[in-house]
Amino acid sequence: MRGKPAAKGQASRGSTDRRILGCVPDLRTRQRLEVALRGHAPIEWHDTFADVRAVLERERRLCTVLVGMRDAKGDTAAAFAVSVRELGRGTAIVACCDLNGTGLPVSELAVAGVHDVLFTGLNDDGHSARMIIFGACLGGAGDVVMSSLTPLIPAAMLRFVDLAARRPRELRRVGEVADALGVSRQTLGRWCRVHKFIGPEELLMWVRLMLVAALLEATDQTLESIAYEMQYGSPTALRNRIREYAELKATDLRQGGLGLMLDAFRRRVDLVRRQWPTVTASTRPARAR
Amino acid sequence: MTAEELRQGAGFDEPRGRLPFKVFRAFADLTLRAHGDVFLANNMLDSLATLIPPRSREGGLLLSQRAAASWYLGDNELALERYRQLTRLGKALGELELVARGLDGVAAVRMSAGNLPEAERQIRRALRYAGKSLPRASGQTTLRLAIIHATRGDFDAALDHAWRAYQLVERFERDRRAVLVNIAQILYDAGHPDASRAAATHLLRLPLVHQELFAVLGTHARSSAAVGDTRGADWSVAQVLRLAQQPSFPQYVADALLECSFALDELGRPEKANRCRARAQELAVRHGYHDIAYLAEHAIPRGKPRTRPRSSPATLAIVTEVQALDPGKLTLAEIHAG
Repeated sequence: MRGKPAAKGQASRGSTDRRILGCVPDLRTRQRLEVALRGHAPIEWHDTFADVRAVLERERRLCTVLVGMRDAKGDTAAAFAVSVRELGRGTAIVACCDLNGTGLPVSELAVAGVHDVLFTGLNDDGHSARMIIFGACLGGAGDVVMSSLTPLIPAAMLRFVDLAARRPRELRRVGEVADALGVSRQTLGRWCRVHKFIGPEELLMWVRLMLVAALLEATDQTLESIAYEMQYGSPTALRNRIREYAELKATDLRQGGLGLMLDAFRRRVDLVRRQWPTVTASTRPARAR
Repeated sequence: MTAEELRQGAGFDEPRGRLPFKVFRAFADLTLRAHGDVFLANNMLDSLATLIPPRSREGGLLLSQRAAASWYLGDNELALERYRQLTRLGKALGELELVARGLDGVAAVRMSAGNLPEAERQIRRALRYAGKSLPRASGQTTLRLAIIHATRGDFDAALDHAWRAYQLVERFERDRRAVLVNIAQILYDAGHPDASRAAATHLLRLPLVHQELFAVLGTHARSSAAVGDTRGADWSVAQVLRLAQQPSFPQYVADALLECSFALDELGRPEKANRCRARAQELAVRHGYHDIAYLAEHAIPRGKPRTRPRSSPATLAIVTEVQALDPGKLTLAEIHAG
């Protein structure tokens, strides 16, 4: 029997647009995760971390990996996370921990580069598991964006950009990022002016668009699902933003999208710096015709 | 972490009101100050920031902890902005504690940049806001004023303020220890090595956290060397070198090593003193503690222990009180036996 048709803007939520790999020896945990992701994304199971790593080495797209604390060979998730981070592909890793196990190495996992943790029986089923897994996927895209953006951003604004790239679902306005950072909005504006840089509102928008570009380039997610995930008002609003800021179409971003977006960002920053203070940080880019 | 520390809360919280995240903040504070794991503490505080409403009293207290963490991480600009934001938030909420702590934090950042006049101005403002109803904030701020006076060489005023801070925080064990650590250092710099040694010996009997231990051992080494207690000085130097093997709080380690080098100089062991000084300089240069690097490079000791100063009667009364803390009946070996 076919289910109810998805609402506009949520069309691809049931599609297989995300690549999720798994290496969790515990069969009950596997089952819970499969149930949680049923209709949203399939999980490709492997027995050892070495197998997962071999797949990741070949794969060019952004992947999310669900790992148990140890694999069938006894290798640890922390060591696996370190080796995956060395690949530098923005792979998101979610560790599945058993709260009844002795000595949860959560801090060790965090240091190793695990994006998030699912606790058995606590948040590893249904909506909460999906939120964590898809949030980690966004975190992986955030890693890719930050590695490309860091050389282009003044040191003072890096903290702002980092927060905006890592928590795009919660921090959608400058005031929210300022609160999370523990400074005032005016301070962010002052830091931008001191470095003759684009204003915080525009910078936040660019960071969000770069996340969109990274997801469009490295996953099969549709623009609609990305707009839904990143809490844009509608897919059309997101399309308009891309056109307005980067003078690109969403289809352009499928091929080398992040690179194109970075070029557009560089041009905009150069323009603001060249024409400072005629083109001030608060001036929005001209609407593309 | 003791029950008393949990009750008193994190980062010099005033002991009033029930705050839902007090235990978690206290734990993050312990990770920061006692264990010296600043990165972990900073991440813990950032995680707490997603749970605690930012425009609330507890959100403000968390912000002051986050500002302190960014200062320990060396990000003075962010620390300054966070303390300013705390002051604004305190004014908006009508919370004098937050305003006082914000101004005190701004003063701390200004002090670390060497801007003593601005730091003093902010401290006096903080004291006006703190008044008598906030003993922990007042004590902390008064102690900072004492340090400013000591840095300027006005030891009478420094001791007066430090003693006032000691009395303000009498009910709080941890704060009292922190103030006494500074009194011991000021007394030594002021030319009262006997009293300084008495305070340091008294402190060494107490359970100290990592951060305090280095400062106390450095002072104990120097004051012991100044009064001719070779065994005491040797013991302190050995303890500093042993503790310094674990990487944490590089500023405190560099400072303690520098103090030890001067103690060793006084004991007539120039080679070991030079090695300690070189290590202190290396640490200071690596982490950007320019004052320590300068003192180590030019072998300039702080204070003037050899010249007996003309102290005011008030200072002499404080010296007598501090000396009474340790009657000097036990040697360090006896104190730490078993």
